[in-house]
Amino acid sequence: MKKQFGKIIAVIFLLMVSGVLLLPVIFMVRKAAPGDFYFLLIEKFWFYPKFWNSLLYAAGIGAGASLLSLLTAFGLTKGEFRYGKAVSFLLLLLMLMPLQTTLLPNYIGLRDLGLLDTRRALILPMICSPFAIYLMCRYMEGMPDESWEAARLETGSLFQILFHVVFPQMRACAAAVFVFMFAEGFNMIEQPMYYVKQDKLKPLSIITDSMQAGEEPLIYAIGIVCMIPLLFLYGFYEEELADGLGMLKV
Amino acid sequence: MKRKILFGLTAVFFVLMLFGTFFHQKIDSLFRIKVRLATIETGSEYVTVPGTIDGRETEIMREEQFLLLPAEAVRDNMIYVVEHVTVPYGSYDVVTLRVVQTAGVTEGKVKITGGLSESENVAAVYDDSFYDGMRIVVEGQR
Repeated sequence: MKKQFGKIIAVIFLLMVSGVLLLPVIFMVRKAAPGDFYFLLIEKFWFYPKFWNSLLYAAGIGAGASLLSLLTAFGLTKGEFRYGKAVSFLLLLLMLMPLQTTLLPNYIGLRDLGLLDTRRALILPMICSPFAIYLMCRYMEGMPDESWEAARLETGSLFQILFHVVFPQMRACAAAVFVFMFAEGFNMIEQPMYYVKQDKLKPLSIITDSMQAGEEPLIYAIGIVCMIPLLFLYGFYEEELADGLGMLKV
Repeated sequence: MKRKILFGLTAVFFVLMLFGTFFHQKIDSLFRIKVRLATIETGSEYVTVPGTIDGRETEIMREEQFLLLPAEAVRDNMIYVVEHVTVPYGSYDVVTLRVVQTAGVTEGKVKITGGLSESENVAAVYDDSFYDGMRIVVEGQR
């Protein structure tokens, strides 16, 4: 009886949370008029270049972060690295830091490398994500050592071990990292505001910056169009997401 | 199965986006009012105006230049000038209302003595459905 009651409370609570999370979406759908979509998709010249910019950045960040975090996690967990635990702790600290604290150091670094106002300025700093590395490390720790040791007996090539043993086992987590980083890249706001000045390099997420008077209602239509690729991606990698995040509790 | 459906929907979405990227201007021009441009002719005439020669007041002849527009293009000294507007990522044509100085009508053509230059484009017909800043498509330029 007590168990049943607990379940009912949990369901009610989850429904309420879902409702609250869905409210902005419902609001956006209600506010967007069909005419706004025509205006946005047909009449506005800036929509498509900015949409493809967003997609390019998001895909680059997602793919880059997946690969880099996979290799970093492999080195930290399976390599004979004495300070692996200390680095993991530092990653945890970095994860807790708000984005704004790293904006200025990143800006200075990009300026000194001459990368400001380029597409790389938006992709490279986002690839090095502590969250992605942390998630990958936790997942990789759950990988059985036997398969890795058996592969070492078969071949001495680290490249082959990575390709034939590590990558197939880490596919779910890599997909989860890709989805998260894709979403983060698609929705980034601060980085394009500070790292790029040219309008042709700016993504759709900061479109309000260059909007003209009378174009404000379009923001709801943009929101809905931008939601579509992310929804498809979440739906496509739903199992991997649950799998990848499930390992975080280990 | 679910993945196949999602993959199909994603593919459709991106195909539509690609189609829009390359053809949205063409689709837009299908629904715009097509405007024919008026032929602007130039003309000149000699007019007598009071003047002085060697300190003596007399009438002198002076050549005056003017432009000729079809009478349908002008209404109450107003015309619609077609302008090409360039914005980031594209360009389009608009009609803008302009007041001009006229000097009568000859053979179905209105003499324009000021407010318009020969290099500008003017809508051949002053249409009531036009408004200032309206996006249009110039006939023959689609």
